[in-house]
Amino acid sequence: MTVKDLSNEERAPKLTLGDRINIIKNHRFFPIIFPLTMLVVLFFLFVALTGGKFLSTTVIKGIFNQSLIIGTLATGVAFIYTTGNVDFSVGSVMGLACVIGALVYQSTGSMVLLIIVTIICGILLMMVNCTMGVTFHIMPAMVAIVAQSIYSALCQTLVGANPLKVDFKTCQALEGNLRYVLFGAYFIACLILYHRTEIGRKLRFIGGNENCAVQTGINKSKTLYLAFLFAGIGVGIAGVFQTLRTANVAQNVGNGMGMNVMLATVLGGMSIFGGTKSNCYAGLIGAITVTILDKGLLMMGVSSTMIQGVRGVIFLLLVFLNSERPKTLPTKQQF
Amino acid sequence: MSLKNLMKKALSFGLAAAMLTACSGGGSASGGESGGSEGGSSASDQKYKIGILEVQLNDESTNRAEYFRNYIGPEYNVEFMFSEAISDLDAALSFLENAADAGCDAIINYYPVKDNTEQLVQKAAELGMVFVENGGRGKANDDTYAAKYDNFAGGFQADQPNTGALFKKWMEENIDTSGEHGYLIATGGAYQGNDQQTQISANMLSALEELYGLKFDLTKEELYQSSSPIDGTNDKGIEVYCYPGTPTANGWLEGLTAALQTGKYDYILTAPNVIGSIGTAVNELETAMNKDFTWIGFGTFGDALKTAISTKDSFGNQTVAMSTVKFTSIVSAMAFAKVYNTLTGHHDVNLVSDGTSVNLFRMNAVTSPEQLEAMSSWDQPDRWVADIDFVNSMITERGGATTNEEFQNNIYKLDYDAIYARLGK
Repeated sequence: MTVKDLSNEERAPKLTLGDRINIIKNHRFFPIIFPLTMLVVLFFLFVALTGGKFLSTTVIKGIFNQSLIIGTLATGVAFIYTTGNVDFSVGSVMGLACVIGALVYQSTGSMVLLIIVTIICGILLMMVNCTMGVTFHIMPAMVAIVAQSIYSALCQTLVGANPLKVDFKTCQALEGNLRYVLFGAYFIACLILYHRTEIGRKLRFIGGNENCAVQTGINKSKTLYLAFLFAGIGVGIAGVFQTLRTANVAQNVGNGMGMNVMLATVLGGMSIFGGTKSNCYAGLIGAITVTILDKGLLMMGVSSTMIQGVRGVIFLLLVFLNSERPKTLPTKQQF
Repeated sequence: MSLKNLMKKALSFGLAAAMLTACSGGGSASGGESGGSEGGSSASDQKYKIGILEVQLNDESTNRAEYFRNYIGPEYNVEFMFSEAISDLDAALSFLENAADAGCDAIINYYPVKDNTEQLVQKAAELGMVFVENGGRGKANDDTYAAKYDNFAGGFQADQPNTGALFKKWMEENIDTSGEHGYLIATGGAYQGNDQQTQISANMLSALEELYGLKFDLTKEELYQSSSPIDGTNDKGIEVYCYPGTPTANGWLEGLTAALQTGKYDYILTAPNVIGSIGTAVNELETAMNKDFTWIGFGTFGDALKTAISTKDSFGNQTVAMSTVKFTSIVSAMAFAKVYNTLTGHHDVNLVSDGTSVNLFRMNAVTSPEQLEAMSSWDQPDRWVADIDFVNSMITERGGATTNEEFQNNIYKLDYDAIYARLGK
């Protein structure tokens, strides 16, 4: 009897197409590349469908303008989501920060103070949310529900019937360059902190396995405070962008934004339950994807009644392609 | 399993792509419909595209879309693009940007933005679009109207004093002051500065003053501008209760029914549109308390008003004794004419000599099911109240108004009698 020598290639088990796809999907770069690919595909799809109009400067600028506020919020909130905590009160926090900033502006007339106060309020209010969770051990989702109601009520009380006005011409002047500089600086700082420092690693570790992270000596409370701090800065900056864009602050400012941030994050390829595969730019990618969809569909002549439906189908599709469905019980890896 | 999953994904992607393509085709088709009329009766070779900024999607907006898209569009070679329901200024600004990118030449805005007229007008100017708003001139946007922007065709809104006067007139003609009555006035958003609800509330209070010759302890402004419920105490001891807010606010309906349950009030006078919100509660209270409530209130065409006017309460009376309605096509025609005049180089026609640049339409009172039935059948496809002749009467290029006074007079000419004469029952 002769024994046939098998090469390594022959000895390896046969992989089905599905196995190969799963290998690709489980690659560590997949969550980064897939949403970006979808974004680029969508963009060029609309470029083709609109006969190149989608490449014009005004369209590109419009996409940036419309995704900036949600993108900034989502970039900040990614620090919280990474730890496995969900905070959807960020819209109300931003609203209240805007209101306080506008009130300070009305009494001082200083735009500089408006910007500083809005950012500081964003930070302080997020720290309050964090304290409720860390010190008083209230579930972050519960804190978010309560905080959302309280902050919205405060906004309504402080603003009253008429929106708080901020000088329109000053806002117009600041809207361009200041926003680019502020967003650029914040986004780069977040990228470095999140992906190139110990802080980011700790956040992901806590999100991936909290008990294990604590056992290795990570101070959970301190790390959570840091997460809420960076989120607070983002919320404050988003508040400044909001005020500059509309030149006034109405009592409903920020309403519903928390859910939009969540949606953008998921579309950007990150789980709102955090974990090791999290990143801080998913929200921005998601926000840009939503804006491109809205703008592209309108430019193609899709009627408003159809847009919501088409958008819903495409959202579902993106999430479907971007998600893992393990055969076991749902885990934090599942979107 | 993996291959199956892959196929599922490919199929779903294909379906979405097909949907996208189909929708795109639909858009093109609608463009094509407009384009198809180019050789028809259009007076201008220039094709325009107008964005409609909607604040809510309801019967009225659907009717408006039908009127614009299928009636006005083919006649004037205009394509219309409609927004989703816009809930805040940021969304409104985004729609303006998107509309400009989609090739719109003008925006008709139904989102109430008195405090932000300037932002939207300037944004439209920056994007090269004409802008007209559903609203009027007030303290908050006075500077914008005064600035007379070249792209700002002004505002259009209901003649609010006239609307309020309709209620006052009904009260003066129908309330018997010899009996003992109490009045609950739902002032809605008057405390927030809502023009319409302010005028209606003020006229209701004014009617009571004149009917009874009474004097309120507080001024009428203090009563309807109160953000919390307040008694309108007066020298004649007539029970008057001003109740602010709208049914969307938590506890509003409960507060209203609690006030009615005190038994002090038998007249319900509502300034906001609550026809569809309180009818059932009022009828149930009537039965439970064996008390006949008389209700008059602001309304709009629709099933809610039809039910309220047609349904008899337990005392055999109409649930709503009187309401007001407007014809969507008249309002839409005014907005379109203002925009079209500016687009075709007749911007001056939009400017009122006193600088207000706001044109008004009048609402109509409806008091019986027969009257409502006739009016409901009018503003429908093929029976538009604002027909092409009416629209042309406001458009300079079509031989219509050459001054804003003419423009306004032509709108007022289309009153109930004129419509009845043309459309009948």
